[in-house]
Parts: sequence; structure tokens; C-alpha cells
Amino acid sequence: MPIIVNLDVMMAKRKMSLTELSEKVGITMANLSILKTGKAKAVRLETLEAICRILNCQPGDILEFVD
Amino acid sequence: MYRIAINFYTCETNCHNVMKFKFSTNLLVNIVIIAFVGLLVFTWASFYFGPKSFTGTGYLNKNEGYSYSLLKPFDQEIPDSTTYRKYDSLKQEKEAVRLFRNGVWPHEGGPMFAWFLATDGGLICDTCTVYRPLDHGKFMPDPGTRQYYIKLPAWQLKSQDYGRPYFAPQFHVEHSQSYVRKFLSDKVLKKGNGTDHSLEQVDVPVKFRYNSKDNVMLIPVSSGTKHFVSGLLFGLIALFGGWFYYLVASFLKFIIDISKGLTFTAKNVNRLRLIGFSLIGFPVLMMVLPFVARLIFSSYFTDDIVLKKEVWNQSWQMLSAGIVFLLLFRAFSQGKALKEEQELTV
Repeated sequence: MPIIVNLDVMMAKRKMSLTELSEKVGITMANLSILKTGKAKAVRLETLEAICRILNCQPGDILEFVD
Repeated sequence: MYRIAINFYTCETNCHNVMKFKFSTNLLVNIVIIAFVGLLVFTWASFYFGPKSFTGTGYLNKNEGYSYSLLKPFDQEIPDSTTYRKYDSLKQEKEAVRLFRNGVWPHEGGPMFAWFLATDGGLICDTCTVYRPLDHGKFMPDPGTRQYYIKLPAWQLKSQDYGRPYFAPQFHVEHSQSYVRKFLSDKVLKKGNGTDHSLEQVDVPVKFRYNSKDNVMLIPVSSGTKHFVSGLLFGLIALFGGWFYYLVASFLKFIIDISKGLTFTAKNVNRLRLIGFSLIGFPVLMMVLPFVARLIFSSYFTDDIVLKKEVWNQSWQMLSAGIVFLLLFRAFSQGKALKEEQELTV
């Protein structure tokens, strides 16, 4: 898929673990892992909003389009 | 320059210059469903607009008359003066003797693979008679010569000719030679506004044999050929029987999975696709195989042999069931896709 999820990069920049992020965002570890590994087929806007708020970044920092 | 690729998958990279014909299962299902609807419309139209009762070499209309000449009957006629009880017994004896002389009684049976092929055997004797033992209700044959056959269950002699069952061809064997007794229209005399047909009954020698009791065409073969074909048919029966039980097991597993709440799973989708395509493939094969048999034994066939109506009638039921399963497959595959999407939505 040409959309690449850079969640792991942003988490590394903010020095945040997956467990900590999942607790703060309020979604399960399994779902967050699906998003991080790029297996997700869709992302809810409210999930994206919560992740951006916690990681203090823009949606474009997490999602990237590569042709 | 465009490259043409026929594939079953989605192109991942370098797809700009590839003109694709994506041939997915869904497309195949759509083609099958459209073909089925087309066949339904065609069948309805042929019944509605087609000829009402045309069969045989000609059809005598209301303003057409006919006269005919008959040959001497190949079996002795029972006198009208015979009492009913005696008449009934003589009639049964006459039928048994005719089957015996035609070489199809008492038949020994053999494996039969749907409408394609079967094997059989029987005693044949030109001069022999039958007798009924005092302690036995059925007729018994004199010793005759054993004759073996390959049976073509889908093919029969015409049940009527010139639009009337009376003119239907009849099969009989005389001195080891098979004949079809039929009517030929050799003259057409114009008489006022209508037409008069002069029908002449003739015996046409043929190469095949016929079981007039079961309406089945027979090809006389040697003992070795009969046993070889029997073995082949047993193999085919075992193969298709096994496949049938596998389909039944798949359907039962499908029901069990649904009762457990495992509805839109890849296994269920695969099972429905397998059952649907098998239910469509089998009747299609059953409709094609009689023509394959006709092609193999084309030198034995004459114009008097026609395809049985039952071949089409039975195939329709299975085809319809297959279409229902393919529609279920479409619904389940869509359900599975939605379920996966929902599961992978974060």
C-alpha cells in the first residue's frame, strides 16, 4: 500500500512506548500494533486526533504517501 | 506500447503500461449467473415462440392427410378371440420372447455413470422360446448366446414420428441383424388445398441394439471391452462419489461453523464457492458427456435416435441449486470483506 505509517518514528522521537501510548490514547495494544505495522485498512479520525494530541504532531507526520 | 496481462491478482508495481484483464472469481460468478438467466430467457422464449409439438422427420398438419402401408408384424399377433386371462399370459410371453430375441433379456446389469455410459449384457437367441415353470411366476429363457453391451442411457428411439406416436420407429432383431422399422414418406400427392402423404413402413438395418423396455440404446461389444468399460465406469463412479461426499461434508461443516457463530470466514466462503461451482459443473458435464458418447459411437447413430428429455430436466434442478450457492458465495465473500475491514479499522 502506498500509504506508510510512521507511528514508530514519531514514538521514538517522543521516547514513548507502545504500552504508554495505548494507555494515553485509550485503544488496545493489539489495535495500535495493527496501525504501527501498517496492516490497518482504515483509521478513525478520532483515533488519529487522539494520537496526534498525545504525540504532539500533525497527521502528516504519522501518515506518508509514497508512490 | 501496451503489454497485455491476464492475471488473477492485483498488480503492485510497474502497472502503468499494462492493459489488464482482471479475471477474478467474482467476475466468473457474474458470467455464470448472467449465462443462467440468459438460458432461462432462451428456454422460456423457445417454449413460447417455438414449434408446439414438432418431432421427427415431418409433422402432419390439420389439412394434411396420410395413407400408409404396413409390413407383416415381426411378432405373431394374438387372436382377438382369446380369453382375457389367456390373452394376458400370451402378451407377457410375447414381450419376453421379443426381448430375448432382441438380446436384452434377462439382462445382467452393470455400472452406470450418470447419462454418459453404462454396461449391460443379455442372452440372445433367434429361435429360442421362453417357458414358465409351474412353481415360478416369471418366465425363464432357453439357453442362448451371451451378448455384452455398452449402454448409452441418454439416447433413445424417437417416441413419435410425423407428429404421432403411432408412427414411432420400432426396433427388432431378426437372424442376428438389427432393424429399425419405421415409416418413410416416399410420395406427396396434391389433393385440392391439402397434401396427402403416402407413408411406407420399411425395415432399415442398423448397427446398434436397443432395449425397448427401458428405452436405452446399446452398442454390442466383446466380453473384454465390456469388462474394461465397467472397470472404467466403477473408477469414475468412485471418483465422483467421493467428490459428492466431500461436498456434503463441506456443507455440514459450513452449517456447524454458522451455528458456532463463525459466519463470515474464509473457510465458509471457500466451501460455498466449491459447492456452487461443483453443482454447476456436474450438470454441465452431464449435458456434454452424452454428446461425447455420441461422438465416440457416431457410426452407430441414425436419425431415429434422439436425446432423452430427462437429461435436460434433471440438469436444471442442479444448475438452479448451484446458482443459489454461488449467490450465497457472493454474499458471504462480501460479508467477509466487511468483517475484515471492520476488524482492521483502528
